[in-house]
Amino acid sequence: MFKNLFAVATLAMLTAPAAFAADLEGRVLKIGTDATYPPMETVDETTGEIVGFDVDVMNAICEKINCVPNFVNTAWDGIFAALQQGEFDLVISGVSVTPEREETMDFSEPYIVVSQAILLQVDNADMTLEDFKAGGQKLAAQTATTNAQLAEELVGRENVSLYDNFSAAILALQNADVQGVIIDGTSAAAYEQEFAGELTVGITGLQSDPLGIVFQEGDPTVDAINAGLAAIQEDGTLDALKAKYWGTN
Amino acid sequence: MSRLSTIRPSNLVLLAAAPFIIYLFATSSKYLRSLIAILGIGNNAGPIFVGFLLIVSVAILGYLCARHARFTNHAPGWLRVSALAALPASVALLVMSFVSPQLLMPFAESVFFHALSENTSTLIDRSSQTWVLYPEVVTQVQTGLQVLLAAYTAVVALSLLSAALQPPWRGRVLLGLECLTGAVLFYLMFMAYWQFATGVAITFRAAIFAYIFSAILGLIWVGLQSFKPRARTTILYGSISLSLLAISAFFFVQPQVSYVLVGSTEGRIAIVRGTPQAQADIIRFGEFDGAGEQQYRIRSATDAAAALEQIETVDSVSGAFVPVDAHSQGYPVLWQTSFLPDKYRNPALAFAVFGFLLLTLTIGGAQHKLHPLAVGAEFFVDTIRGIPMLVIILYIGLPLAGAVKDATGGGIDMTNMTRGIIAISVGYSAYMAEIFRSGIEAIPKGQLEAGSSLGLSRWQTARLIVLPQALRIVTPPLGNEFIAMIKDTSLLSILSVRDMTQRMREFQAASFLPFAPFNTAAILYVVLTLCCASFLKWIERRTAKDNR
Repeated sequence: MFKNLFAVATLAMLTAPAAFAADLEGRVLKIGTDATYPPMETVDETTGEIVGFDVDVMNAICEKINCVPNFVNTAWDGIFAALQQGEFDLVISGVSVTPEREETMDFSEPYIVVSQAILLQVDNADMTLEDFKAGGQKLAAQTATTNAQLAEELVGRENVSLYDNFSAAILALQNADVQGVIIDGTSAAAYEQEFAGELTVGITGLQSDPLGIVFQEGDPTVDAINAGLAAIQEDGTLDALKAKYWGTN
Repeated sequence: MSRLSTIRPSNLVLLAAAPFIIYLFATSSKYLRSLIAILGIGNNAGPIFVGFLLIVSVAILGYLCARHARFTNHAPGWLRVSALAALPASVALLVMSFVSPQLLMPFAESVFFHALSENTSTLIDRSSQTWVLYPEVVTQVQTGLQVLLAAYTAVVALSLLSAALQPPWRGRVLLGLECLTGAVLFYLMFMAYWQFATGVAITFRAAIFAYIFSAILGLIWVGLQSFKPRARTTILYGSISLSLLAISAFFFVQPQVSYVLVGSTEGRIAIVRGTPQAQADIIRFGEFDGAGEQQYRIRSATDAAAALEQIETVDSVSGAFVPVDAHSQGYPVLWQTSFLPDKYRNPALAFAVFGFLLLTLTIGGAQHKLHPLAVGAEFFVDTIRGIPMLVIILYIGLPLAGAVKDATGGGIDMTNMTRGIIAISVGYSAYMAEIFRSGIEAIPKGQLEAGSSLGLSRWQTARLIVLPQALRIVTPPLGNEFIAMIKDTSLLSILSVRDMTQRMREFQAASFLPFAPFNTAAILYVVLTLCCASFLKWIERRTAKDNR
């Protein structure tokens, strides 16, 4: 069943002109995501469904190229291992496109570019990047993310505390175990709003990361998704979604 | 009052704290929301829970009825009462399934839905965001439920009637009925999907199953360790390992297949499905002759013809790696290679590894006058104990389960939960084996000698003298392991199993509440583990009473 669909999908793309008209014929895509990252993806308390920007983007793409998304929530630690084992058809989870990751996985075209930022305690709102670089001040980040890589580049490994998830990093900041949490700009605003009067986005405009949808190396589905992405970019759906989540930005 | 005084002190503390905890959950929306999220209370939980309660209580009565039939003469009063209540209850449930099916259907539907394979099943209507069963399927489920309930009522009636059976058949029929009703109850408690409390069900079930499997595995390791070498052991196992190596050599000399890399390497290179990973890697990392110092992008194609066609039709593809006899004339050949196809290479490697391992164990065993399997079991216990649980879960859950799936052609495709349970069982079996071994070794040698001087066989000595005493010694550490396992199920979230811990993380991220989810999860884990600890203590007391 799956193989047939796959063959049909491949054939459809081979025969179709390169742009648009990609059609996955109602195929169910199993999509891995770590739904602990507002506003990109979280589990809605009331319905138990996975919601967020990434989910909306994927739904919009699937509407264009006729596929059915099936989101599977998984911990970040095993997400790429599971993708490479074929447990998921693709991963959309605010994943930054990096040359290192591109060596082992395929990425779609970027669907949003985010710059990273540093969350600070309100008392230290005037801290600068230089204060961190000068040493003695610790940065926290989520393990195995580009935030963690950037943190290491900025202040060196020994001044970086890595946590399993952002909530833990934020707790460490509230505890003053660390002086800053490095986070994607798209999420920073959500955290600042939630912890108003306590935390603030002090340092912005750090290295920009394009976010992409991740596939197994060599998976032809990437073409269909790219076509869908181009379609939602063209008709303004993507911009509308960005506006929905980040206001005027 | 006397009942109260028999409660374990630690449970008493929890009981005393219970009003405060309940007050906390009832009055604070933060805690109530965390509780709902962490327990995994899903959509439509209320009606589903009602259906579950109705069905499960009838299942309990049915089981007790079958059990009562087996022990008619010594049955306590409460068992007699429940046996008599079973038939009216199951008849009532059957009538209810016809008169007001809306009470039972939510549970039945949810169980049926989650038993389907959700990505491929044709019974699921995926047209809207929330997936549901097609209406005609729901009607069929309802009919199925009515048939099942009718059958169950018949089984209960049969258990009541079976008391009149005569001895040669009686025992077997009664045992069969008890197993059947027991299996129904087991399914409802441990297998059926609980949409009203998924999180806690996952945690609890994963721990229970992992505990059972790891105890069995642990016993196997201990059993293997007790093997004693005989005169011919070395020769036997030596020849087995040599023949394994010979089979491996046979596979290694099978004919190779030739592949060519054609086209150019400017764009991506199409790789035919089924090409060994090692070959794809050679191309990807530019390790073939004539490659530049760079990496190349690859892309999958279903077969050789499609791969060659992609060079023409897909802009980004400029080359293909195809079998030499595919009609690749017309494209420049960049590189030619031949290799053993996977269907020979995989068994060749597997036999070589096992043959070599067994040979090492045999030699090591012969040197120290030990049985090769005993050496193997010890080696296993030592290595597994040294690997972190997270690594074991990742390794067994992904590559190993994938290999099993490939080897069986997709026949054995375990769910993530099963994979996780197997991984935890394997990891903990090493600790279990050491616990069992310590218990057995604690029995003085003199008792074994006494056993054999009484004329008992080795098996009889083990069953009648060693095991009863050893079991009492190992009960507390075994309980300890169980509690450790309940908490280690939280590691399964890396296999996308959404247990209580994963739900706590999700809720924390979504709600930005730091401590309420932590506290709630802690309370839930404590309640779970204290229940289990009390159960184990109860078992300990019972076995102690038996042996006094």
